[in-house]
Amino acid sequence: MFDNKQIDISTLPQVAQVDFKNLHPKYKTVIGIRLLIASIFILLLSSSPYIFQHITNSLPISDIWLVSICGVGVLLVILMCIISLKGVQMKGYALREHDIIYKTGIISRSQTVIPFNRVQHVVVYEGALLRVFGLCTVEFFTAGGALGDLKISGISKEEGERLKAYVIQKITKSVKPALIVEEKEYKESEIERINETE
Amino acid sequence: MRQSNFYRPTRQAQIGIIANFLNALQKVVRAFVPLLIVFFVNKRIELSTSIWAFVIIGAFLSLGIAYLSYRNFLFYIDEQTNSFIIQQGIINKSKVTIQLEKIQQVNLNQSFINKLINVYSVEIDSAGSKDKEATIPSMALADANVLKQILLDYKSENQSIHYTNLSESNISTEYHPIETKRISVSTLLKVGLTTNYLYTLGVILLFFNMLYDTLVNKFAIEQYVNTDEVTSYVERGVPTLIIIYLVVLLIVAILVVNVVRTFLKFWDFKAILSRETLLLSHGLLSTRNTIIRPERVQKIEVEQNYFQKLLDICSLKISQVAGEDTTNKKTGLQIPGCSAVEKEELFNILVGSAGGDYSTELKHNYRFLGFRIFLLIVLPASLFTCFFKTEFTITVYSYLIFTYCFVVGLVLYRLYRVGRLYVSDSFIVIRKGVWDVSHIYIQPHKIQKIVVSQLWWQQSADVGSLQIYTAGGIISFSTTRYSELVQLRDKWLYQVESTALNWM
Repeated sequence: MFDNKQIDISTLPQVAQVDFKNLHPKYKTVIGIRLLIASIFILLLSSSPYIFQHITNSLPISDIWLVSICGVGVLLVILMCIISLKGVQMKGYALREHDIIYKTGIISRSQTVIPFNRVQHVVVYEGALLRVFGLCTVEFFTAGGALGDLKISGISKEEGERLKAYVIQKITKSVKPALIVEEKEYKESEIERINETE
Repeated sequence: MRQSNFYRPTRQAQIGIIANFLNALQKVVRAFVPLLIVFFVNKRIELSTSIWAFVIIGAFLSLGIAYLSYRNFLFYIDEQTNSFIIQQGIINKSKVTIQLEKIQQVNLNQSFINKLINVYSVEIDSAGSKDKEATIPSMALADANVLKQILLDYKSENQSIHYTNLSESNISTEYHPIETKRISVSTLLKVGLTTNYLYTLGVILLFFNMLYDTLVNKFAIEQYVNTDEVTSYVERGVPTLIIIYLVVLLIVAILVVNVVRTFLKFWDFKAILSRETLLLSHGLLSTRNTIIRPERVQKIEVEQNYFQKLLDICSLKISQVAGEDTTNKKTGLQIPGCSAVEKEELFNILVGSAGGDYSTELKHNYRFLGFRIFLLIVLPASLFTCFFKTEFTITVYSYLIFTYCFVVGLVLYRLYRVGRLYVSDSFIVIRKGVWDVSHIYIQPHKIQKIVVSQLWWQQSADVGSLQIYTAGGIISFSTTRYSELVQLRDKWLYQVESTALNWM
């Protein structure tokens, strides 16, 4: 049987109506620690010419330039901190029946969507710092090359594993679409479970 | 009849040793070219006997390797397992087995060296997911053709048995008549005259720059030419005649180089359609063969500039799945001179007709210009003013700045005017370009990932950008109506998620 019903575009499901789920609150701590380390490095780097000048007294550069280099470093650190910490709040993800959506951004706001039937495999990573806080990174790979994947960092370990299991089950199912209808109810409950944990 | 019996382990043509030798030698020479250049430039080259000894030993070594690799290269058809087997390697031995029914294409190629000694390399393309290809580097033409026939006949016999159970229509589609299309010399001439001006200009300038550098170093130009005289001569103003002469010379040089380049690359361009694959072969010095399978095509780019429009030619760039490393080098391929009708036919073969109802058409917002003007005109101009103002007189300075702003501004304005996003039910088309206007076609079901984004100051103006990731590359369209993009995104997601069509 083949049917080809007309579809009203305005009635299609819209990404904009989805409720996004924020990243795990502990992820902010992780970002904070990373920022701290990076800030120390940048401050050290930017102040080193000034200090070097005063130790050796040999560089023929005026103090104004050296201080302004320090100033640029401090400004960079402040900007970086604000953007990263605010950025965590702006990030969020949502599962739908057929795709996964990830939104990011404080300066550039973007929504990334990957349909499940284009996902090739899913990987869960745990970096050292993330593991301390029981978090993980989930990466969804598509055939779109190195840039065509989707990485969600900073969700709890159990949830990451659940996400992976769910998507993998989806991938194997999309190979035989006949099964989709039968297990639809199960899937919906699964989505609810994932969306409502925490 | 030893040669045509491929059911026993067979070696390549004996003359192939020479090809192997030349190939090895070529590799060695290429590896040592930088060293040689350094020697020549420093003029310290003293070809003492020891170096000649090295050269001779090297040559013998490559000859030995060539012979051994010839001896150890065996290929045959194994009738018990119905597979084609290639054994090779001197120290690291390898054995490649290809199921006969999986063989998709057998191509005969000729590189430049192969052409010299009149042998062909046979490439066997199989339908596995890995798309691993086997190559027999050198065979005589007659043998190669026999082998090709055997390998392909097996497939068709097998299929005809297979298809007897099925309906008649299947058989008739399977034995599709083989069509061959060629691009004539006059078309290539047209292509050469109308493309790649900037690229060739860059190459020529680079070449002259290098030439000049070496000449100056070699002859110490000051000895022959009085530089002061030249400078004063230039300052008095160069006669217009000389400027015109130089410009004409440059244009002629560009055109000649372009035509030669096009001939070298696309000489004897053939497109052969068989068994639902498109086989392209071209090249003057070395013939290159590429196979296009419709299901692997991800993106098609049609490029045409004003002159080409007048001559009714366009060039097609076809992106296939950028997958395994071995296929990477042939993912992007080009068909240089197609007429509009031929383009239509190719589209029909590869992705279906590109016509249809492009109901949605989006333009760039005028903000497209704003940020780019800042980045490409205001910023460079102010930096230039900061650092180099003192080095020019005010007239030269304002002349430079004005020319730069005018040219870049014109380019940006053209980009802004040309940029379009057309959407129909079966295609997404992006038009862009300045001089060469290109239309990029992708099909919605080949989308892998969609990103829509907007900068925070664009939010109130309802402006945003779109990026679509496919297995053949990324396409993007920036600064247009965001609400429309979001709607389109939802529609494409619906199309991807509800379709049974796979992306490959």
